[in-house]
Amino acid sequence: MNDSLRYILRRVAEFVVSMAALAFVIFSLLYIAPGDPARSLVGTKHVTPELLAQIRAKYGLDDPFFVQFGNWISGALHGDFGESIRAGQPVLDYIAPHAAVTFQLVLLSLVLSVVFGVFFGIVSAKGRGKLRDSAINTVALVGTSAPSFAVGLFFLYVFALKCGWFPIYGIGDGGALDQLWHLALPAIALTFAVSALLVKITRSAMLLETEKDYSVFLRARAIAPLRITMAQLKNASAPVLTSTGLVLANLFGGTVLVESVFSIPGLGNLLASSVTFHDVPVVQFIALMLAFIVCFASAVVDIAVYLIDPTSRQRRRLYREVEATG
Amino acid sequence: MSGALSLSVRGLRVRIGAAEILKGIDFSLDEPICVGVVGESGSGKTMFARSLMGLLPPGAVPSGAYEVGGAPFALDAKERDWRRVRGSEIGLVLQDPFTALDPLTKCGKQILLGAAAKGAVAAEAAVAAELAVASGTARGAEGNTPFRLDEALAEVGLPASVAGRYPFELSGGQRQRVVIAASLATQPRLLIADEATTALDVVTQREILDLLETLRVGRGMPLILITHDIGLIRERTDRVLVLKDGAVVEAGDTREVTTRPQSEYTKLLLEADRRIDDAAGSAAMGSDNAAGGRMPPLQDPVGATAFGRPLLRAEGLSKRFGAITALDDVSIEIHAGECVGVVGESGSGKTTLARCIVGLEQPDAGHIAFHGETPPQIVFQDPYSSLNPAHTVRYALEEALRAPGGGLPTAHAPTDDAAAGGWPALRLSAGQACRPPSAQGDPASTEGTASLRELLRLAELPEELLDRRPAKLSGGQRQRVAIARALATDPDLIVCDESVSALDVFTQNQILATIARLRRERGLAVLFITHDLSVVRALADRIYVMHDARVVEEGPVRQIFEAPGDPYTKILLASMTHGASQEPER
Repeated sequence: MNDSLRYILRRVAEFVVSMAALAFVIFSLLYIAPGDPARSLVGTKHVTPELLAQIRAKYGLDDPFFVQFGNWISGALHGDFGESIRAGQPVLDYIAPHAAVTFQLVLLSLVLSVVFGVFFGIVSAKGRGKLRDSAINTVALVGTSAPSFAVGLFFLYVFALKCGWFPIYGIGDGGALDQLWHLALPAIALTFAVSALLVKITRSAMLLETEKDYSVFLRARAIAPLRITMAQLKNASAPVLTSTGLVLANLFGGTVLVESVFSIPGLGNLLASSVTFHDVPVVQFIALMLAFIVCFASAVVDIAVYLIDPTSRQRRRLYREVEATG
Repeated sequence: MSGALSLSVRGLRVRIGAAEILKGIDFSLDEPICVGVVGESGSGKTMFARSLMGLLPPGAVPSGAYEVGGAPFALDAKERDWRRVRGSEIGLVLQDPFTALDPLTKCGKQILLGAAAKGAVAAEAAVAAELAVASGTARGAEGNTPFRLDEALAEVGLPASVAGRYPFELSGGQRQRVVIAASLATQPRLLIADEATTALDVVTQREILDLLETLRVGRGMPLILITHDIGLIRERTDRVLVLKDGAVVEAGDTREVTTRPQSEYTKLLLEADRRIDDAAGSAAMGSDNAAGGRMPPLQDPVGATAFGRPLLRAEGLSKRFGAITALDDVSIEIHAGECVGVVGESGSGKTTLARCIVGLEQPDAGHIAFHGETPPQIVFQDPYSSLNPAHTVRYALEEALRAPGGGLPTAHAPTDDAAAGGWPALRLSAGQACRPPSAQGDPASTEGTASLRELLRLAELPEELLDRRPAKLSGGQRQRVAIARALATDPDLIVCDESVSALDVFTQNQILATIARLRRERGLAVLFITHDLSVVRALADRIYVMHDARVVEEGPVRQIFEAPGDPYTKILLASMTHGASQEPER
């Protein structure tokens, strides 16, 4: 158990280091990006050099690079991410409602992706070489290669416009069920685009387990097929979990396009318009938040994979085995 | 207990694509005896076992008339129908106890799964017992269930605490006992052991075979013993089936077949096995050259004094892995051209010693002085995993030749070959042997190709294998590729870590002969790590015996075998599976 704790601490330390590096990269990229935020702040008002200088002073835009970076980081650590240039509100308050919508969309898609991806991956592996195997693979391939906005438009046309099963745009009038109903179609479009990865990975991981001796031995004892599948799935969980982390990152990327197709006021839409508007604090915050989520998910996945494997939990005893097998 | 299962199959054939793997085998069994199925690797003996349980690999198509328990059963039945035969009628014990168990599930639960499948415990009871296992009490399901986990474990000679362990926490022998307990949990009326002891050391091998025999007699359960080891057949079985290339070459009463073999192939098998008997029959041995007519004399009759300068001297090596001591003050010396054997059971520290010597592991204490020109090379145990499956033989060897110090000198490559009688000595100076990598250049250059040819010749590999990948090679051929790769840097010392243990007796003999020849011709020193005493007996000049991380005895081969000083060495010698004393007739 001691070793597990050490591993978890090390993985958390890695997480902190990569977050620091990402924060620096995000900040410097926006710093060197073309466009003057001060000018955007002025908006359509008459621009005078005095006004510009005043604004630059207020937002600290003339400070040296590292001072600006330091200010931003220390603010961020205290929960202060500055004010939105466009809205004049604190970034957190401004973003919160958008973020809530996107998180629901991503969470819904993630659950759907994992459930369908793993399920069809298993079905495909169990029916290797059969019709259902190639059918699943073909659909998965179409899902990966078709751009998510095209799939979104197609779904919108067929299921919302023609069939009328789903609303066409927006997030509804506030009721939880209504919102779920509004998010269903975009979530399915997102799922369709990203779950192919999970299908493929689950399929090949399960095939690998099927060929292993323990699977043959389970079959030789007439163990129930479902039990065998569960044992194989547990053994195959490392690659499946790791790719789930990747899927999460892809989902956030996918929201940008899907949200604009379905007119959902989420982070993706906000990010796109904030970039156009040079709303630097908002862009910085969204980028940092996405980086945080992806890094955090990957750390959680790594720790989960580590804990599932009893050999890594008691790493020391493994050396006995190394010696014994050798 | 349910009685012995009657089983018969007539004209059993298995095809994979156009190839016929089994060519019409007749077999029947209806009393609780032990039947052996023997043959070298590739003879179809595993396919035979698997086809009786419907566990053939995908693409294999069986045919023939099969009867289980008196009722006909279709050999090409669906998975669902096979579940009637598997477990409750026929149990299977696989070769490798390291892979046969689910690594992520505690042993107790794995045993209970079979009992639940049989219905001896309800599925819920299995889950309840699983909780008991998790809390370490390992009492099995309470009350109304006839199956008790602690009894199942006791039957195979394991303490109840094993139920709460993961497979990786157990030794090879313990795992094989768990596998047997898991097979028995489904209450089979016949047990098939497919090379069930091959991966184990001799002491454990004997224990597991004894256990299987006890179970067979106690349960009145016939046993089919599948093996490549005819010595084991002779010692343990009542009837035998000799397989070659998917066909039965000889069948009958074991004593009859082993004492008066009718087929040439059986004679060959028995002859190859004599090497092992010779090695075991220590004091009675007259000459080393009695080691089997077809075999080249494996051991050069040179005394330790004939060897030159010390090539490697390791002193006071210690290595710990956490709480486990792998090496404890181990000293070892190897002279130029010498073959030194290190023997011991699994877990005795011999692999760690090998890894320290080739620099794969850093000892915690002690030092290693090496006086050779190029660093020692290693040949691992498992030819199936030590080669990159994606690369051809050519690639693997060229890569080794391009490595710093790689490249055999070809200037003196002989034009006469084995047919002419000798192989000219190829020892070369350091300058010739270690050309700068840049000179190696294009592997397709004539020089590179010549080096490659030379490697093939040394390892006795036919040139047409060059463009194959490991999957298309036999175990012996793969091990030869590994040897060729080790020779690419023209080393003074190669370390063979159980390099022949995974091979059948035939192939073993051939590889050992190659190693002996390389020693003669190139003055190569060999450090041979093995649990198989017959191998060191055949090959080594001196032996170190390791036990619990220490060297307990060291000396010339003859001395160790004829007058072992340490009590542990005596146990090791006594536990060799087929002692000559057990074979008084001829």
